[in-house]
Amino acid sequence: MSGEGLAAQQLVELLAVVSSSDDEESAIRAAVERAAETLEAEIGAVVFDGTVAQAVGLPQGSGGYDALAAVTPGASQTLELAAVGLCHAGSAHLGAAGEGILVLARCEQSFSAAERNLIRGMARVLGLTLRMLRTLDAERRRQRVMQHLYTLQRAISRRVPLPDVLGMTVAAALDVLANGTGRVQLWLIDTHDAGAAVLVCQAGELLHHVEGESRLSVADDELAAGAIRADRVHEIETGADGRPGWSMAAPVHEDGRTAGVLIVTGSAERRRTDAERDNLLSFAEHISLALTDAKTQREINNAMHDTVTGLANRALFTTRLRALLAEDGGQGRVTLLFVDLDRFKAVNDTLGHAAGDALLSQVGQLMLRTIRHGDLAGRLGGDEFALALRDTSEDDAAAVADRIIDEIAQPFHVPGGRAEVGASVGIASSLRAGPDEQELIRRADIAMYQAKRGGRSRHVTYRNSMDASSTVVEEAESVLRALVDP
Amino acid sequence: MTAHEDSRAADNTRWMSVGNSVLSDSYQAGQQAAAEAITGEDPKLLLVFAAIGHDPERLAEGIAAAAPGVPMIGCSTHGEIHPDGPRDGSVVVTALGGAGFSVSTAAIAEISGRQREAGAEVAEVAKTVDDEFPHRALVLLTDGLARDQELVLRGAYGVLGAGVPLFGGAAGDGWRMTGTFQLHGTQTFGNAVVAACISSVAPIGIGISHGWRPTGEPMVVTASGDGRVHELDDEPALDAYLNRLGAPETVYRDRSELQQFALSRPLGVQRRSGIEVRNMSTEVDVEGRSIGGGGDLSLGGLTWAMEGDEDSVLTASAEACRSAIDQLGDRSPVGLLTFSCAACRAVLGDDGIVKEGARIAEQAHGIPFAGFYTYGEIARTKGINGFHNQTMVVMALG
Repeated sequence: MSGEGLAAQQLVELLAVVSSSDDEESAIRAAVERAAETLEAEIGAVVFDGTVAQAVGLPQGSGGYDALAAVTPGASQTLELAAVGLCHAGSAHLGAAGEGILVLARCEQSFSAAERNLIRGMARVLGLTLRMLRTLDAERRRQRVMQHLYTLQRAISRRVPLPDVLGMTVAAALDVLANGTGRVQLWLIDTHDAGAAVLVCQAGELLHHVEGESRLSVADDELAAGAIRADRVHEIETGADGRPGWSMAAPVHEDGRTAGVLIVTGSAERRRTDAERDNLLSFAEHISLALTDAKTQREINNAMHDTVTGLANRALFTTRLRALLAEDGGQGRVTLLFVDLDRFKAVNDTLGHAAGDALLSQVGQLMLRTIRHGDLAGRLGGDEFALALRDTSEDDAAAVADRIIDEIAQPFHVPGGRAEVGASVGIASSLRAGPDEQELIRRADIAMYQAKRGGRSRHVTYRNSMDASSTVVEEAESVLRALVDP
Repeated sequence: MTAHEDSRAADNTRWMSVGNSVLSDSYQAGQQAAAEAITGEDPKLLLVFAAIGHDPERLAEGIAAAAPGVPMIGCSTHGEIHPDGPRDGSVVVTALGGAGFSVSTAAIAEISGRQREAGAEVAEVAKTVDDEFPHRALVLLTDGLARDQELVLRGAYGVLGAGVPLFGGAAGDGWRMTGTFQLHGTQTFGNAVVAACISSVAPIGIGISHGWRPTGEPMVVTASGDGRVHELDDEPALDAYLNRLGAPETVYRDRSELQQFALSRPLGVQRRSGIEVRNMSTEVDVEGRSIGGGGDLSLGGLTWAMEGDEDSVLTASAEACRSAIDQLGDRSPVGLLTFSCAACRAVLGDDGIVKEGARIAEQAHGIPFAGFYTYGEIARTKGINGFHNQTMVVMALG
């Protein structure tokens, strides 16, 4: 085979080797090794911006890296390398891949003109391959970002707990922005001190994280302050352990107001691009979305719950009771306990409303302790509570009522002293009342009045016969109620 | 069981000698060969080449009993090389000693799938040898049944760099192809790499030579993967190879005939300073029609069918010895390590390997030598490649 034919063949072999590489690092290593192999060079390297990216034949720390990094393409050079001796260097620009240089060094013989040409060809092949890999890498990264964002959106829409969503977002940002290395942190402004931010979650290597460092002063931190002030991505050069690096921060918001910063920190080897700045902003915006959604959920939750006891209010209780009754095609079996406190008004009148609220709160906790998973507890208003027990017979419900009555009969410790109240409980079952939640509540209410009339601190189970008498006495009862329950 | 001459150098600071035992009891064989090898003061290293039939644990114990505390590496073979002629079923122990040598040893187990890392790790440990002497070389003994042996060398080269020659061989198992063993002190392994970094006051020469020449036009590797070549010139690789050589019809389907045919017809890969040999006989794939077994053949690469004969192989063996010795200049070597290929042994036959031993002895001029028939030869002296097939590699210790 002629010299030209052999050189062409060697370029083909190099292309076959580097083009089968999956990433830039393995392509460079394959190219360096193959080029050294082809030219029987002991040493091969690729140098970017004066830094050796990959080398073969020189042990790390041997001191020869600086000499390799200083080789200038075009000139015929000799290098004196420790442990190797005098070498002849040949090098060429990678061309299509920026400022990279392929460097080969051989002990035995200097490179001929034909070999220097081959080095130029090999550098060019590697340069083109790296450019192709970078394009592919950018496309793969874009796809990965889309996949992460889709997963986050699903998590937010499915109301995955907020800490989990935040953790997922930080991990995704680490994967995309720092390639699994470096660090990503989410700092949120302290609700009690707007001048400080608290480290909420983080992922990755703790490059220069000081143990216990979980608060920062927003005004004093150049990165966080820059991002918050400008309300966009802010960048600074950083360094840790003598290693150069960088940090980027993007602001996060809750309901339109600045709520913190998402910070990514990487090493100098990994370069930042506009696409990565956009990606950081996307992850920050998803955190904003999750925070705002969680806030909205909190507000909705507050609107549907009694602020004193934390129990469902009448509207939410009724809605959930309707859903319970509709289970199993309307055959859901529910027994309702309507609990009315006896002598509660006296607590408010004598010890004040704060004491009354404290007592209601403790009764609310008692209700929650009483029910099982799947049952409902609610405060219907004033001193009226309701429990909806699933698949519970009237007898079993009566036993529950007894327990409640006994416990409520115990003194409560409230601000200003001890409060003693009682409870009257009405019981009604959907087996008799049917699937209408209002009817079930009405029946339990009637039974409760019967219990009160019967002497308080007792329970009564609804009977149809109560309806007739109740309608007659209902009006009178409503008038007399205040008198009966002073 | 001949005690060999003590080849102490003129300044009396370095020596090498060789012991051998054909006893069947592994403990006794190890003990006897080691005792016979240690003929001088201050032994620094034992290199052990043993038949696969030996029990490696008992062998190591026997050697340790005869040479307590002396660093040792070794492996199983496809026949042992000894100054009195080739051996089968024996144990050959080579001892290096004297104040002019400094040695450190290492072993890394479970190398398959992580050859490059294993090579780096073993070199990292072995390189801790005293740096007081100007000349160094790393002797590696690997599991010959592990694939991608080149990567072990690349890993070691990455740690040691171009300043330290690599030398050694891949352990054999007498063509059983079921498992080799490696020794490191009293530790025994399969699927491992053991290494000794030798530092010397005197130069170390390494010779490499094979007796194969290309025939016909080259073929292009058009499909490869997992260490095998699937297609040559867009044809199933095995068929393209056999067609190019005009192989008899029976060879195409009969595994043993194919192996026999391929033994003396390796493939060649063009390098700047010559053609490297790739053995095709150890992993024939009659069903899948792929070829492999002898090391890397790159996708897109050119390869030639190669031919050779007893005479060319023997000439190469002598040339490798001469080259290694010549590199020492005016110095006489204290000894030679001679690693030849198991496939060459098959080509040479029993008479041929006796002749090979005689050729080595001619070059040695009375200095001790020892080695074994390997499943792959290691010698990196220039460039970055160092793994060979069907080649004689020789280390001359100055």
